[in-house]
Amino acid sequence: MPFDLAFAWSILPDLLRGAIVTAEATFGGMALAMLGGLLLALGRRIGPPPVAGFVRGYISLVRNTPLLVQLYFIFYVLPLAGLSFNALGTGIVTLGLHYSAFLAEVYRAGIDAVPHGQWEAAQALSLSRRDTWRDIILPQAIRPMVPVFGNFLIGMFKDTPLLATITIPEMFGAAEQIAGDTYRYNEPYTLVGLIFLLISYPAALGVRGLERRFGVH
Amino acid sequence: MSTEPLIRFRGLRKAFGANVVLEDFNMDIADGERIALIGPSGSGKTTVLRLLMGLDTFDGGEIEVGGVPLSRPSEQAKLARRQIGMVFQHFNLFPHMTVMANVTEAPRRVLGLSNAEAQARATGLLRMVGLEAKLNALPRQLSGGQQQRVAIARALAMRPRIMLFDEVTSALDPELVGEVLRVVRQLARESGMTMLIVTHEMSFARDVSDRVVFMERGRVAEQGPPDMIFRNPSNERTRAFLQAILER
Ligand SMILES: Nc1ncnc2c1ncn2[C@@H]1O[C@H](COP(=O)(O)OP(=O)(O)OP(=O)(O)O)[C@@H](O)[C@H]1O
Ligand SMILES: [Mg+2]
Repeated sequence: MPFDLAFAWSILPDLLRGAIVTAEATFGGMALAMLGGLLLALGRRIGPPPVAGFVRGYISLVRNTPLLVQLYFIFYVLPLAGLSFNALGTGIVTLGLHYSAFLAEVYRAGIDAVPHGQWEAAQALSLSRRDTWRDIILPQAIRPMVPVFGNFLIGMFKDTPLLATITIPEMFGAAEQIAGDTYRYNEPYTLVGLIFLLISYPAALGVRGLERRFGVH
Repeated sequence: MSTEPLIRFRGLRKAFGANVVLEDFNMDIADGERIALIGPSGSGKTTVLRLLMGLDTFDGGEIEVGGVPLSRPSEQAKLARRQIGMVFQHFNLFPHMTVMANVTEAPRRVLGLSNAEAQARATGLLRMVGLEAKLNALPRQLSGGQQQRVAIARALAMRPRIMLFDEVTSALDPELVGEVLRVVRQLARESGMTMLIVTHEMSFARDVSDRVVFMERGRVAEQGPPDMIFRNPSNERTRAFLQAILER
């Protein structure tokens, strides 16, 4: 099974164009998941009982079904109910919704780890609930979460090939396209694997650095 | 001294499950009075301060501040509590904020002071507690005694009429106790604020207060001017408690 360097070189631009879509999906999905996770965590903690109940149900549902199934559901089933996005939009929304259920747990642990005395000090100063959350509790809760976010970002990055299944031209989709057109599989899939490795591995090392810096002391 | 007490505890009751911590607790505190609250561990001293501050709810009786009842949440009760400042045993500074930000946070957010106004106020208070050189430090860069002095400045920045101190030196290394007690003493002498001080430092209790209240099992067992309580307690329990403390 020969590896044709010249061919590999020639398909690299296509793969890198795909990598840009991968990056868009990853960062878009993560931004959505961080916001969604926070809202879910707050909804469960300070929302009225129906909201808290909805959040619990949502989190169980999302955590106990595969991402691929959620992706197909949102891409193929929701449009039947008149709710549709373009393919990339669907991918970002699905990644965001999926990961928000996991990040909600991360936020919850972070919030629970803030010592009770911080709430009491804020209350003794007559700070409002809102000011207490925004200025006192969340900044302390989120700091040790930064490396955890990093790990989820890498995890999400490695989940993006699933998006190829709903026609999103991200990096893996681009490789499939090339393979289908040329009947050459070695170069495109090897390159995709290498690119994932070249990004994920240094990122994982970076997260370890973050852990040292932001870890709870 | 006006006839109407500033703070009034009447028939206060508090239980944690089956553990009745306060039972028919009564105490009146006049405006400007400085009370030292003493008593054995578990007698309910901290609980009295926490209920007054609103950190816990009580099960019966009433607390009034300036005539406003605190048993039910109301706008008036909120405003009454805004006149109360509290200093905790473990400081409870905001660890992610500088000293300056710790002291300016509540005046800016709650009182609506501008940045400049809040900083001017904070600078004055931090000078008073001897920490004007530490404005930009983070709490973890300070000694315990320095942190506690920041916590005092933080509470004072709200210009409270009433200050609560809960064993503010008991978490400190012995050599750092003096600097904190000095600040509290100075406040007691010069500020005219009403102060409720829980402490195990008997000589401090004696010279900082107008009245010593000895608590036992959730009630006031004996009270009076410091000289009387320390020189000639009438209650057998008070005597035994003071004896035990002095022998330590
Ligand atoms: N959050 C709580 N949950 C359950 N029990 C509590 C709680 N807080 C206090 N207690 C109990 O209430 C009683 C009185 O406690 P409190 O802290 O008021 O005593 P104290 O006089 O301040 O004692 P110390 O001198 O040890 O600080 C104790 O028996 C304590 O165990
Ligand atoms: Mg106590």
